Amino acid sequence: MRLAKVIVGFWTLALLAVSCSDNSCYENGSALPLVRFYAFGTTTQVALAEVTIRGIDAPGDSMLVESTTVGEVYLPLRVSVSTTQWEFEYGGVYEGVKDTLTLQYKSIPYFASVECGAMYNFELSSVTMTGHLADSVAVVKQVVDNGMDVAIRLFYPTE
Amino acid sequence: MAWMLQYDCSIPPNETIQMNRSFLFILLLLMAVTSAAQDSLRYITPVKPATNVVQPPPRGTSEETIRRYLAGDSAAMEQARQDSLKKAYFHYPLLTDLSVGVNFIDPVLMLLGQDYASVDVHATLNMWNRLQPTVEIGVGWGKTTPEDMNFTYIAKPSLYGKIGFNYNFLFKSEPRYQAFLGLRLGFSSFKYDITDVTYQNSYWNENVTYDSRGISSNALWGEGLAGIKVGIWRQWSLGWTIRYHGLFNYKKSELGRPWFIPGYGPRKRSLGFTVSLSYTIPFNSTTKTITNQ
Repeated sequence: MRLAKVIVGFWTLALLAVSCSDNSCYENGSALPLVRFYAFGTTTQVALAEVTIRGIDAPGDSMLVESTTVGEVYLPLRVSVSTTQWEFEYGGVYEGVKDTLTLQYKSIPYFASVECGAMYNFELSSVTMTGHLADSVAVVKQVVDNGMDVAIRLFYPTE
Repeated sequence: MAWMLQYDCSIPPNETIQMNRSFLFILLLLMAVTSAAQDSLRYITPVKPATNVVQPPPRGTSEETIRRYLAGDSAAMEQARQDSLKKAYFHYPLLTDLSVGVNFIDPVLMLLGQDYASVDVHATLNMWNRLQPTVEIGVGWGKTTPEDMNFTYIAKPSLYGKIGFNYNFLFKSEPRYQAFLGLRLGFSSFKYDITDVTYQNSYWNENVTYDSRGISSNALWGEGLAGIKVGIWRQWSLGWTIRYHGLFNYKKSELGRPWFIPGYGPRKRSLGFTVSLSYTIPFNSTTKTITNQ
Protein backbone atom coordinates (compact mmCIF):
# COMPACT_ATOMS: atom_id res chain seq x y z
CA MET A 1 0.00 0.00 0.00
CA ARG A 2 2.82 2.35 0.93
CA LEU A 3 4.63 1.50 -2.30
CA ALA A 4 1.46 2.15 -4.28
CA LYS A 5 1.22 5.61 -2.74
CA VAL A 6 4.81 6.35 -3.70
CA ILE A 7 4.19 5.26 -7.28
CA VAL A 8 1.01 7.33 -7.54
CA GLY A 9 2.93 10.31 -6.16
CA PHE A 10 5.63 9.85 -8.76
CA TRP A 11 3.14 9.73 -11.57
CA THR A 12 1.42 12.87 -10.31
CA LEU A 13 4.72 14.75 -10.23
CA ALA A 14 5.63 13.39 -13.64
CA LEU A 15 2.37 14.60 -15.14
CA LEU A 16 2.95 18.01 -13.58
CA ALA A 17 6.42 18.06 -15.07
CA VAL A 18 5.03 17.42 -18.53
CA SER A 19 2.10 19.80 -18.28
CA CYS A 20 4.03 22.75 -16.83
CA SER A 21 5.15 24.48 -19.99
CA ASP A 22 4.94 28.12 -21.00
CA ASN A 23 3.84 28.66 -24.60
CA SER A 24 4.11 32.45 -24.57
CA CYS A 25 6.48 34.53 -26.67
CA TYR A 26 7.87 37.32 -24.55
CA GLU A 27 9.70 38.94 -27.44
CA ASN A 28 8.64 40.24 -30.82
CA GLY A 29 7.32 37.87 -33.44
CA SER A 30 9.58 39.58 -36.00
CA ALA A 31 12.99 41.17 -36.00
CA LEU A 32 12.37 44.92 -36.15
CA PRO A 33 14.97 47.59 -35.49
CA LEU A 34 13.80 49.90 -32.73
CA VAL A 35 14.78 53.51 -33.45
CA ARG A 36 14.72 55.94 -30.52
CA PHE A 37 15.20 59.70 -30.58
CA TYR A 38 17.61 61.60 -28.35
CA ALA A 39 18.72 65.16 -27.72
CA PHE A 40 22.07 65.78 -29.45
CA GLY A 41 25.07 64.99 -27.28
CA THR A 42 23.03 63.50 -24.46
CA THR A 43 21.21 60.35 -23.55
CA THR A 44 18.01 62.30 -22.95
CA GLN A 45 15.14 60.85 -24.89
CA VAL A 46 13.05 63.30 -26.91
CA ALA A 47 9.82 63.06 -28.91
CA LEU A 48 9.35 64.26 -32.46
CA ALA A 49 6.15 66.31 -32.84
CA GLU A 50 3.81 65.76 -35.76
CA VAL A 51 6.26 63.59 -37.66
CA THR A 52 5.31 61.46 -40.64
CA ILE A 53 7.40 58.37 -41.41
CA ARG A 54 7.06 56.43 -44.64
CA GLY A 55 9.10 53.82 -46.43
CA ILE A 56 10.57 54.91 -49.74
CA ASP A 57 9.11 52.75 -52.52
CA ALA A 58 6.56 51.29 -50.11
CA PRO A 59 3.50 49.78 -51.81
CA GLY A 60 0.76 52.39 -52.12
CA ASP A 61 3.08 55.00 -50.60
CA SER A 62 1.69 53.95 -47.25
CA MET A 63 2.74 55.73 -44.10
CA LEU A 64 4.03 53.99 -41.01
CA VAL A 65 3.47 57.05 -38.79
CA GLU A 66 1.26 59.96 -39.80
CA SER A 67 1.55 63.37 -38.10
CA THR A 68 2.01 61.87 -34.71
CA THR A 69 4.26 62.67 -31.78
CA VAL A 70 6.59 59.74 -31.22
CA GLY A 71 9.64 59.04 -29.08
CA GLU A 72 10.57 55.75 -30.76
CA VAL A 73 9.46 53.65 -33.68
CA TYR A 74 9.95 50.11 -35.03
CA LEU A 75 11.00 50.22 -38.71
CA PRO A 76 10.32 46.98 -40.65
CA LEU A 77 13.02 46.06 -43.17
CA ARG A 78 12.61 44.38 -46.52
CA VAL A 79 14.06 40.90 -46.84
CA SER A 80 14.07 40.69 -50.64
CA VAL A 81 16.62 43.51 -50.97
CA SER A 82 19.58 44.62 -48.88
CA THR A 83 18.68 48.30 -48.51
CA THR A 84 15.65 49.98 -46.98
CA GLN A 85 15.08 53.73 -46.83
CA TRP A 86 12.74 55.65 -44.55
CA GLU A 87 11.66 59.24 -44.97
CA PHE A 88 11.04 61.41 -41.92
CA GLU A 89 8.83 64.44 -42.66
CA TYR A 90 8.69 66.86 -39.77
CA GLY A 91 5.74 69.05 -38.78
CA GLY A 92 5.12 72.16 -36.73
CA VAL A 93 7.85 74.79 -37.07
CA TYR A 94 9.87 72.36 -39.23
CA GLU A 95 7.09 71.72 -41.68
CA GLY A 96 8.44 70.75 -45.06
CA VAL A 97 11.79 69.60 -43.69
CA LYS A 98 12.60 65.96 -44.51
CA ASP A 99 15.36 63.53 -43.57
CA THR A 100 16.09 60.12 -45.09
CA LEU A 101 17.35 57.21 -43.05
CA THR A 102 19.15 54.56 -45.12
CA LEU A 103 19.87 51.09 -43.74
CA GLN A 104 22.05 48.54 -45.50
CA TYR A 105 22.06 45.03 -44.12
CA LYS A 106 22.16 41.32 -44.68
CA SER A 107 19.01 39.27 -44.08
CA ILE A 108 19.61 36.07 -42.13
CA PRO A 109 16.91 33.38 -41.67
CA TYR A 110 16.49 32.79 -37.96
CA PHE A 111 14.52 30.40 -35.78
CA ALA A 112 13.87 32.16 -32.49
CA SER A 113 11.77 29.58 -30.63
CA VAL A 114 8.68 27.45 -30.94
CA GLU A 115 6.71 30.20 -29.22
CA CYS A 116 8.00 33.16 -31.28
CA GLY A 117 8.47 31.36 -34.59
CA ALA A 118 10.83 31.67 -37.53
CA MET A 119 11.80 35.05 -38.98
CA TYR A 120 14.72 37.00 -40.39
CA ASN A 121 17.45 38.72 -38.46
CA PHE A 122 19.26 41.68 -40.00
CA GLU A 123 22.97 42.30 -39.73
CA LEU A 124 23.42 46.05 -40.22
CA SER A 125 26.40 47.08 -42.34
CA SER A 126 25.64 50.78 -42.81
CA VAL A 127 23.18 53.26 -41.36
CA THR A 128 23.15 56.87 -42.61
CA MET A 129 20.84 59.84 -42.07
CA THR A 130 20.63 63.07 -44.01
CA GLY A 131 21.20 66.06 -41.76
CA HIS A 132 18.43 68.49 -42.64
CA LEU A 133 17.08 68.42 -39.11
CA ALA A 134 18.63 65.30 -37.55
CA ASP A 135 22.15 65.73 -36.30
CA SER A 136 23.58 62.24 -36.26
CA VAL A 137 22.86 58.53 -36.02
CA ALA A 138 24.38 55.76 -33.91
CA VAL A 139 24.03 52.01 -34.24
CA VAL A 140 23.93 50.34 -30.83
CA LYS A 141 22.90 46.86 -31.95
CA GLN A 142 24.46 45.56 -35.12
CA VAL A 143 22.42 42.37 -35.41
CA VAL A 144 18.74 43.19 -35.21
CA ASP A 145 16.76 40.30 -33.71
CA ASN A 146 13.35 40.00 -32.12
CA GLY A 147 14.49 41.54 -28.86
CA MET A 148 12.93 44.72 -27.58
CA ASP A 149 16.08 46.76 -27.04
CA VAL A 150 17.09 49.83 -29.04
CA ALA A 151 19.06 49.21 -32.24
CA ILE A 152 19.52 52.74 -33.58
CA ARG A 153 19.71 56.16 -31.90
CA LEU A 154 18.83 59.31 -33.82
CA PHE A 155 20.08 62.57 -32.33
CA TYR A 156 18.31 65.89 -32.83
CA PRO A 157 19.37 69.42 -31.85
CA THR A 158 17.31 70.94 -29.07
CA GLU A 159 16.71 74.63 -28.41
CA MET B 1 22.84 -16.99 63.37
CA ALA B 2 23.67 -18.61 66.64
CA TRP B 3 27.19 -17.22 66.40
CA MET B 4 25.81 -13.75 65.79
CA LEU B 5 23.51 -13.98 68.78
CA GLN B 6 26.32 -15.17 70.87
CA TYR B 7 28.64 -12.52 69.54
CA ASP B 8 26.04 -9.78 70.03
CA CYS B 9 25.42 -10.88 73.52
CA SER B 10 29.08 -10.78 74.41
CA ILE B 11 29.61 -7.20 73.32
CA PRO B 12 29.06 -4.34 75.75
CA PRO B 13 26.14 -1.95 74.88
CA ASN B 14 28.27 1.13 74.09
CA GLU B 15 30.45 -0.87 71.65
CA THR B 16 27.29 -2.25 69.99
CA ILE B 17 26.08 1.27 69.18
CA GLN B 18 29.51 2.19 67.76
CA MET B 19 29.58 -0.95 65.58
CA ASN B 20 26.04 -0.27 64.31
CA ARG B 21 27.14 3.24 63.19
CA SER B 22 30.21 1.85 61.44
CA PHE B 23 28.11 -0.83 59.74
CA LEU B 24 25.59 1.74 58.50
CA PHE B 25 28.38 4.01 57.19
CA ILE B 26 29.99 1.14 55.24
CA LEU B 27 26.60 0.07 53.91
CA LEU B 28 25.79 3.59 52.65
CA LEU B 29 29.26 3.90 51.11
CA LEU B 30 28.85 0.61 49.29
CA MET B 31 25.41 1.62 48.01
CA ALA B 32 26.77 4.94 46.73
CA VAL B 33 29.71 3.30 44.96
CA THR B 34 27.61 0.58 43.32
CA SER B 35 24.96 3.10 42.31
CA ALA B 36 27.57 5.36 40.71
CA ALA B 37 29.11 2.35 38.97
CA GLN B 38 25.71 1.32 37.62
CA ASP B 39 25.00 4.85 36.39
CA SER B 40 28.36 5.16 34.71
CA LEU B 41 27.84 1.73 33.14
CA ARG B 42 24.60 2.95 31.61
CA TYR B 43 26.17 5.98 30.00
CA ILE B 44 29.50 4.68 28.80
CA THR B 45 28.10 1.82 26.73
CA PRO B 46 25.33 3.35 24.61
CA VAL B 47 23.77 0.91 22.17
CA LYS B 48 20.89 1.06 19.77
CA PRO B 49 17.91 -0.50 21.51
CA ALA B 50 16.95 -2.43 18.39
CA THR B 51 20.38 -4.01 18.08
CA ASN B 52 20.88 -4.76 21.76
CA VAL B 53 18.12 -7.31 21.84
CA VAL B 54 19.53 -10.81 21.97
CA GLN B 55 17.53 -12.84 19.56
CA PRO B 56 17.35 -16.63 19.46
CA PRO B 57 20.15 -18.24 17.51
CA PRO B 58 19.46 -18.13 13.79
CA ARG B 59 18.90 -21.22 11.75
CA GLY B 60 21.96 -23.27 11.15
CA THR B 61 23.47 -22.54 14.56
CA SER B 62 25.24 -25.59 15.91
CA GLU B 63 23.66 -27.71 18.61
CA GLU B 64 26.55 -26.98 20.92
CA THR B 65 26.01 -23.21 20.65
CA ILE B 66 22.27 -23.62 21.23
CA ARG B 67 22.92 -25.80 24.26
CA ARG B 68 25.35 -23.27 25.73
CA TYR B 69 22.94 -20.46 24.89
CA LEU B 70 20.10 -22.17 26.73
CA ALA B 71 22.42 -22.85 29.65
CA GLY B 72 23.02 -19.09 29.96
CA ASP B 73 26.60 -19.21 28.73
CA SER B 74 27.63 -15.56 28.27
CA ALA B 75 29.95 -16.36 25.34
CA ALA B 76 27.14 -18.21 23.57
CA MET B 77 24.77 -15.32 24.22
CA GLU B 78 27.29 -12.89 22.79
CA GLN B 79 27.68 -15.13 19.76
CA ALA B 80 23.91 -15.19 19.36
CA ARG B 81 23.79 -11.41 19.61
CA GLN B 82 26.45 -11.09 16.92
CA ASP B 83 24.55 -13.52 14.73
CA SER B 84 21.31 -11.60 15.21
CA LEU B 85 23.06 -8.38 14.26
CA LYS B 86 24.42 -10.03 11.15
CA LYS B 87 20.95 -11.22 10.34
CA ALA B 88 19.51 -7.74 10.85
CA TYR B 89 22.02 -5.81 8.71
CA PHE B 90 22.95 -7.17 5.34
CA HIS B 91 26.18 -5.87 3.97
CA TYR B 92 26.24 -6.25 0.22
CA PRO B 93 29.52 -6.84 -1.56
CA LEU B 94 31.35 -4.23 -3.59
CA LEU B 95 29.95 -5.65 -6.81
CA THR B 96 26.39 -6.49 -5.89
CA ASP B 97 24.75 -6.58 -9.29
CA LEU B 98 24.52 -5.01 -12.73
CA SER B 99 21.25 -3.68 -14.14
CA VAL B 100 20.66 -3.02 -17.81
CA GLY B 101 17.46 -1.41 -18.95
CA VAL B 102 15.62 0.74 -21.40
CA ASN B 103 13.80 4.00 -20.83
CA PHE B 104 10.68 3.67 -22.92
CA ILE B 105 8.16 6.27 -21.78
CA ASP B 106 8.71 8.87 -24.51
CA PRO B 107 7.64 6.64 -27.44
CA VAL B 108 4.47 5.85 -25.46
CA LEU B 109 3.83 9.55 -24.95
CA MET B 110 4.49 10.16 -28.65
CA LEU B 111 1.56 7.88 -29.41
CA LEU B 112 -0.49 10.15 -27.15
CA GLY B 113 0.55 13.29 -29.03
CA GLN B 114 3.94 14.31 -27.71
CA ASP B 115 6.16 15.81 -30.42
CA TYR B 116 9.50 14.37 -29.35
CA ALA B 117 11.12 11.33 -27.80
CA SER B 118 14.34 10.23 -26.19
CA VAL B 119 14.97 6.51 -25.79
CA ASP B 120 18.01 5.19 -24.04
CA VAL B 121 19.58 2.04 -22.73
CA HIS B 122 21.32 2.29 -19.43
CA ALA B 123 23.67 0.20 -17.36
CA THR B 124 23.92 0.60 -13.60
CA LEU B 125 26.56 -1.05 -11.45
CA ASN B 126 25.28 -1.61 -7.92
CA MET B 127 28.11 -1.22 -5.40
CA TRP B 128 27.38 -2.25 -1.82
CA ASN B 129 23.72 -1.72 -2.76
CA ARG B 130 24.39 1.97 -2.13
CA LEU B 131 26.48 3.70 -4.75
CA GLN B 132 25.46 3.07 -8.33
CA PRO B 133 27.54 4.44 -11.21
CA THR B 134 25.33 4.74 -14.29
CA VAL B 135 25.82 5.17 -18.01
CA GLU B 136 22.95 6.06 -20.33
CA ILE B 137 23.21 6.07 -24.12
CA GLY B 138 20.26 6.92 -26.29
CA VAL B 139 18.79 8.56 -29.31
CA GLY B 140 16.35 11.47 -29.48
CA TRP B 141 14.21 12.89 -32.24
CA GLY B 142 11.17 15.07 -32.76
CA LYS B 143 8.97 16.97 -35.15
CA THR B 144 6.51 19.75 -34.55
CA THR B 145 4.36 22.10 -36.59
CA PRO B 146 2.59 24.28 -34.02
CA GLU B 147 -0.79 25.66 -34.87
CA ASP B 148 -0.84 29.31 -35.97
CA MET B 149 2.92 29.28 -36.44
CA ASN B 150 4.95 29.57 -39.62
CA PHE B 151 7.39 26.64 -39.53
CA THR B 152 8.03 22.93 -39.11
CA TYR B 153 10.83 21.93 -36.78
CA ILE B 154 12.47 18.57 -37.42
CA ALA B 155 14.93 17.24 -34.86
CA LYS B 156 16.89 14.55 -36.66
CA PRO B 157 17.61 11.35 -34.74
CA SER B 158 20.78 12.06 -32.80
CA LEU B 159 22.76 10.33 -30.10
CA TYR B 160 23.19 11.46 -26.54
CA GLY B 161 25.00 10.14 -23.51
CA LYS B 162 24.83 10.61 -19.78
CA ILE B 163 27.07 9.52 -16.96
CA GLY B 164 26.45 9.81 -13.25
CA PHE B 165 25.50 7.87 -10.18
CA ASN B 166 22.64 7.09 -7.83
CA TYR B 167 22.71 6.74 -4.07
CA ASN B 168 20.26 4.10 -2.83
CA PHE B 169 18.75 5.00 0.52
CA LEU B 170 17.29 1.50 0.98
CA PHE B 171 20.72 -0.08 1.09
CA LYS B 172 19.69 -2.37 3.95
CA SER B 173 16.86 -3.82 1.90
CA GLU B 174 16.89 -6.10 -1.06
CA PRO B 175 18.31 -4.57 -4.25
CA ARG B 176 14.95 -5.26 -5.90
CA TYR B 177 13.50 -2.29 -4.04
CA GLN B 178 15.31 1.00 -4.19
CA ALA B 179 14.69 4.68 -3.49
CA PHE B 180 17.51 6.86 -4.68
CA LEU B 181 18.81 10.29 -5.51
CA GLY B 182 21.22 10.79 -8.38
CA LEU B 183 23.21 13.14 -10.54
CA ARG B 184 23.88 13.04 -14.28
CA LEU B 185 26.05 14.87 -16.75
CA GLY B 186 24.65 14.76 -20.27
CA PHE B 187 25.95 15.66 -23.71
CA SER B 188 24.50 15.55 -27.19
CA SER B 189 25.62 16.67 -30.61
CA PHE B 190 22.69 16.96 -32.96
CA LYS B 191 21.19 18.52 -36.09
CA TYR B 192 17.83 19.99 -36.93
CA ASP B 193 15.89 21.46 -39.84
CA ILE B 194 13.51 24.38 -39.95
CA THR B 195 11.28 23.92 -42.95
CA ASP B 196 8.18 25.41 -44.58
CA VAL B 197 8.88 28.82 -43.10
CA THR B 198 6.51 31.48 -44.39
CA TYR B 199 7.60 35.03 -43.69
CA GLN B 200 5.14 37.86 -44.21
CA ASN B 201 5.86 41.57 -44.05
CA SER B 202 2.58 43.40 -44.39
CA TYR B 203 4.06 46.88 -44.70
CA TRP B 204 6.35 46.01 -47.60
CA ASN B 205 3.89 43.44 -48.91
CA GLU B 206 6.46 40.64 -48.91
CA ASN B 207 5.78 36.91 -48.71
CA VAL B 208 8.85 34.75 -48.54
CA THR B 209 9.27 31.04 -47.89
CA TYR B 210 12.49 29.31 -46.94
CA ASP B 211 14.01 26.19 -45.41
CA SER B 212 17.03 26.01 -43.13
CA ARG B 213 18.44 22.50 -43.13
CA GLY B 214 21.22 20.74 -41.32
CA ILE B 215 21.67 23.27 -38.53
CA SER B 216 24.15 21.72 -36.12
CA SER B 217 24.32 22.26 -32.41
CA ASN B 218 25.45 20.60 -29.22
CA ALA B 219 24.57 20.85 -25.57
CA LEU B 220 26.03 20.01 -22.18
CA TRP B 221 23.74 19.75 -19.20
CA GLY B 222 23.35 18.46 -15.67
CA GLU B 223 20.51 16.60 -13.98
CA GLY B 224 19.50 15.95 -10.42
CA LEU B 225 17.02 13.13 -10.03
CA ALA B 226 14.93 11.23 -7.54
CA GLY B 227 13.69 7.77 -8.32
CA ILE B 228 12.36 4.45 -7.19
CA LYS B 229 12.87 0.92 -8.48
CA VAL B 230 10.52 -1.96 -7.88
CA GLY B 231 11.06 -5.61 -8.69
CA ILE B 232 8.14 -6.94 -10.71
CA TRP B 233 9.08 -10.47 -11.77
CA ARG B 234 12.21 -12.49 -11.13
CA GLN B 235 15.12 -10.25 -12.20
CA TRP B 236 12.90 -7.72 -13.96
CA SER B 237 12.06 -4.40 -12.40
CA LEU B 238 10.42 -1.07 -13.22
CA GLY B 239 11.97 2.26 -12.36
CA TRP B 240 10.67 5.81 -12.28
CA THR B 241 12.72 8.97 -12.06
CA ILE B 242 11.85 12.64 -11.90
CA ARG B 243 14.62 14.83 -13.19
CA TYR B 244 15.39 18.51 -12.79
CA HIS B 245 17.90 19.59 -15.36
CA GLY B 246 19.68 22.70 -16.50
CA LEU B 247 21.89 23.55 -19.46
CA PHE B 248 25.51 24.35 -18.75
CA ASN B 249 26.08 25.37 -22.35
CA TYR B 250 24.63 24.95 -25.80
CA LYS B 251 25.72 26.04 -29.25
CA LYS B 252 23.72 28.88 -30.73
CA SER B 253 23.73 29.13 -34.48
CA GLU B 254 23.39 32.22 -36.63
CA LEU B 255 20.31 30.46 -37.97
CA GLY B 256 18.62 29.88 -34.64
CA ARG B 257 18.47 28.18 -31.30
CA PRO B 258 17.47 24.53 -30.89
CA TRP B 259 14.03 23.71 -29.58
CA PHE B 260 14.70 20.07 -28.73
CA ILE B 261 17.86 18.55 -27.31
CA PRO B 262 18.11 14.72 -27.45
CA GLY B 263 18.13 13.29 -23.94
CA TYR B 264 17.17 16.64 -22.44
CA GLY B 265 13.84 17.42 -24.07
CA PRO B 266 12.60 20.87 -25.00
CA ARG B 267 15.32 23.41 -24.26
CA LYS B 268 13.08 25.62 -22.14
CA ARG B 269 11.72 22.81 -19.98
CA SER B 270 13.52 22.12 -16.74
CA LEU B 271 11.61 19.04 -15.54
CA GLY B 272 11.44 15.61 -17.07
CA PHE B 273 10.73 12.07 -16.07
CA THR B 274 11.57 8.58 -17.20
CA VAL B 275 10.08 5.12 -16.84
CA SER B 276 12.40 2.22 -17.47
CA LEU B 277 12.31 -1.54 -17.54
CA SER B 278 15.50 -3.18 -16.41
CA TYR B 279 17.01 -6.61 -15.92
CA THR B 280 19.36 -7.24 -13.01
CA ILE B 281 22.29 -9.61 -13.20
CA PRO B 282 23.46 -10.50 -9.67
CA PHE B 283 27.19 -11.01 -9.31
CA ASN B 284 26.96 -13.12 -6.16
CA SER B 285 24.02 -15.04 -4.75
CA THR B 286 25.31 -14.84 -1.18
CA THR B 287 25.69 -11.65 0.75
CA LYS B 288 28.46 -10.80 3.12
CA THR B 289 27.56 -9.59 6.54
CA ILE B 290 29.06 -6.98 8.74
CA THR B 291 31.62 -7.84 11.32
CA ASN B 292 30.17 -6.55 14.52
CA GLN B 293 32.67 -4.61 16.59
